[in-house]
Amino acid sequence: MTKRSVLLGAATLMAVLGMAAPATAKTTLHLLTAQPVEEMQPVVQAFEAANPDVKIETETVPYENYAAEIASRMGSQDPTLEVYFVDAPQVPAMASKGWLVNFDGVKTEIEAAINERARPALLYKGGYWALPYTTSVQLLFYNKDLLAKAGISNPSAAEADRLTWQQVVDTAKNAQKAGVKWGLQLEQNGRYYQSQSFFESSGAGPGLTGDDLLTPAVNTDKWIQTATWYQSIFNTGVAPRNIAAEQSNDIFRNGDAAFFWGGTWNLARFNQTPGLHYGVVASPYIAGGKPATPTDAWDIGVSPYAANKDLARKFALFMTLGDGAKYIALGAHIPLIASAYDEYMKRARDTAVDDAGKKEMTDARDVMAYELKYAVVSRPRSIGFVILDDVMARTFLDIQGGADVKTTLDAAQNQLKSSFSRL
Amino acid sequence: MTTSIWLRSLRFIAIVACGLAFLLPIWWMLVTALRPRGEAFRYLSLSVWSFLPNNPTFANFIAVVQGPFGRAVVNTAVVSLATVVVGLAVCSMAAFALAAMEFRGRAIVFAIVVVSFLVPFDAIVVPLAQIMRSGSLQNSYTALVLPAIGNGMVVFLLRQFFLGIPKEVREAAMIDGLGWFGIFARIYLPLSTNALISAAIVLFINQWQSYLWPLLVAPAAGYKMIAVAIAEMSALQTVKYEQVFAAAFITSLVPLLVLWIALRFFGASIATTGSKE
Amino acid sequence: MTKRGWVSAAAFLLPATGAILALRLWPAAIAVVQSLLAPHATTFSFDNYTYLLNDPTFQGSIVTTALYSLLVNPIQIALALALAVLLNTRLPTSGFWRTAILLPVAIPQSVSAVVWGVAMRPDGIINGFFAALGLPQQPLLSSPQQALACLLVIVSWIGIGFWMTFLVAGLQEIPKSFYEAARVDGANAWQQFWYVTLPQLRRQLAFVLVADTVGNFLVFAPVQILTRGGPRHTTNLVMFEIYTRAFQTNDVSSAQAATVILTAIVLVVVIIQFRLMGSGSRE
Repeated sequence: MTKRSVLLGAATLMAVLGMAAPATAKTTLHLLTAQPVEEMQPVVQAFEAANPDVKIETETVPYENYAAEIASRMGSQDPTLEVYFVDAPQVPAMASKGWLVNFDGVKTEIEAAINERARPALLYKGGYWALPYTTSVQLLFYNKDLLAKAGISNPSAAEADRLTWQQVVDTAKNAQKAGVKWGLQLEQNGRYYQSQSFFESSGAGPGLTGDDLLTPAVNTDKWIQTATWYQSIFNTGVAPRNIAAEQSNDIFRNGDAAFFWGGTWNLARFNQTPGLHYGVVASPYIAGGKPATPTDAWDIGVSPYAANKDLARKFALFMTLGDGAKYIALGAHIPLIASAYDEYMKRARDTAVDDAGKKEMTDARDVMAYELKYAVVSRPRSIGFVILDDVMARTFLDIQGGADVKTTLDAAQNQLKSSFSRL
Repeated sequence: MTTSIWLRSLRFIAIVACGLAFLLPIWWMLVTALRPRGEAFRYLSLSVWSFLPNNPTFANFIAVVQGPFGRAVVNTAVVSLATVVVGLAVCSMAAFALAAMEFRGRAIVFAIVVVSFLVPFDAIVVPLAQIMRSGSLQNSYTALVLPAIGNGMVVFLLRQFFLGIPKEVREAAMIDGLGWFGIFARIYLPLSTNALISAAIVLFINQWQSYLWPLLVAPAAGYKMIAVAIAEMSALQTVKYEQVFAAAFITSLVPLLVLWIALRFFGASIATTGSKE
Repeated sequence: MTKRGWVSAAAFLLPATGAILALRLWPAAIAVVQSLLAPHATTFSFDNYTYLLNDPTFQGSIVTTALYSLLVNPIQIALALALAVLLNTRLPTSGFWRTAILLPVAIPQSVSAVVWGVAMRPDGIINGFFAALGLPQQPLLSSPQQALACLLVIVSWIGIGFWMTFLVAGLQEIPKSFYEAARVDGANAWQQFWYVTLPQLRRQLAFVLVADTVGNFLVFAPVQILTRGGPRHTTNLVMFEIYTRAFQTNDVSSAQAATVILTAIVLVVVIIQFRLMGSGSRE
């Protein structure tokens, strides 16, 4: 599998493709994503219209295996991996492995297009290795009917009235006393993406310290304290254990939960559920701590092994900083690019089916805007992030299930140390 | 002979009970697939409506067939068929050599065959994918079929079966002037319908639900396989489970038909095994 | 053997053996080589192996896998045999039911895992059955005590039809005259089973035993989707460890080392099984 045979293969491939193409020899550019192909159609067609000698092939791979797909293809320096979606917290690891092309040349444009708080998420060792695409924010949804039945007044969406988690749990318990099945449903059921928030908020930190964020710190006193509180939500029956993330929003939709902490992609779905009267407020924080709302989604990267590197850069820039940016608004995540963000917010509002819905969407929009500017905390920029993500997901599941907090966190600490030693 | 009828009835009931127990989860998938959008998990606690759709609709099936899944069914059917045809030919030949022909090194070759299916396929997918990519074979039917035709388990299975055919049959055929290929094609194969059908089922099913390999080597839309298409449907922020189960139900329909037809031919070879009686 | 015989044998063997060597064993060899290279190392060493064998999580996964294997194989084979005997009949619709029991194999394992996962939810159907019977709600997949057993049920549902089918094929090969002879000698149903059926099934049983054992060492899709090795590592089978290391944390060299270790274990087990059952090559 020498570089020469790969080049030979690539040349043959391109020759064959060239022969199969119509007379105006089109160049084929490859886009790899974990999002549905339909979501990419508009931007692909727009680029092809502006560049008639280019044909873009979109490939999707399910998120579960997305990282594996990339690792496998980078390992063989696959020239057909050209423009691809990058899971934002993995930028450091991928840049350090030489899997991303540098974009410092458009530094000014990047910084002009996005919110300042989103900048660190794109950087690795001070350089820009991917282009900003989308982000995310968590919202606290509540069921107006269930709260009313329990005689609880609706929480306020104003910035100054942000609830603490302790307040939410107490309110949830009261709702359960009045007959609601579950007080609180956490959408992502233990995944680090959501759980990190509790620990950032309480001051326990993301679980990594040190200059390179490669020193695990998940069994400090603060961590144990916060984790014990986290466990109590499940132990006392306020939140259900072990519901798969993709199935959890159904619990709220079916009216079985008073509160639901989940992503903005639920807004459209809840809007279309007849009989569900929901409200939205900002993500809560741990009492005595500070807000730390989960965020980040996808960036766009270019592979240094791409067969058409310049064209790949061109398309990547088109998708993000160029005219193609407006199509970002069509996806499930919030666009990072300012122009697309405004369009997205407008479209989201329009999914509401009635005036009550429209008011909720306006509230949601205001909450999202505030969060993105002031309250979000990204996942740690460490090349060991994937390991952390994987180990902590299992750890949180065990803690949810009632395992002894200190023993479980100590075991996680050891496992992290052991796995990091392999980096 | 009333006891006999009683026993046979009991047996029949037991068979139906077992069959139903196995079918129940598949039935549930069908019921969920018939539910309107968003109702997949509404009836989880035990009730009549857990197993009967109260608002049946075919919308999910239609949506799923028109999407990338529909294409994936075609791809997978083509790949599975090719795998069965080529795989049966190739593996039965090797099994014949290992069972009926005596040559030095036979034990070693057999050992190679057995060791090969001890090696977890999922553990070699990465190096294998690299080999395929370096030969520019990614996103092709070749890449999907090739690794599946040299199936150690199938060779082993057929070899076990061929060993049961007595030496005398072989020797008689040789006296009659048949060469090795003639013995293989005209004597062994016709005697082995059951085993060949089992082998075909193994090859077919392996390909029909294969996931990791097609994911790594053929994710392009034109070559997508069923399990990958279904995984894609399950991997979004908001999963349409009704559609996932509709797809899963369709996925089980084709093998159901294939298997049913194939299994009907089981036992057909008994009548021709002259030397067994 | 004559030269011509050699050529014939080679012709028969080459396609399959060639495919096996090139597409299964050659990548396996590459994997072995990768397992001898520690991360960032340029010289060969056993570092990956020492790392693994000293890692408590990996050690635990070996123990869990051994325990699982000791439980699942006898249960599955006994059940498959029982089902095969039960369903080896010309009674009407029995062909349909044989197919029905085999059907779960054709469904992608990921989907089967989701279906069973939903059934085993705290608010799911299985707990519904328990409630109807007056039993308390069971944690099932979230319980360190019950999770492995639940996994066993799921994997068995998925795979038993497969083994049953082979055994049915084997049962149908047994000439009726053998049973006639036994009956004439005064043997009852159980004795017929013990003295006619089992010995005649020996070759198929050998195959099913080996193939099922190997298959059960490689279980991981339900683990990945439902338990991720938990709760508290009680379903952390070795294949899931390998998958996590190879595809999640991207520690490929330790994944390959784990694969070599797993393959070695399976090889030993299979050799023992062959010795016990006899591979049937002596006629």
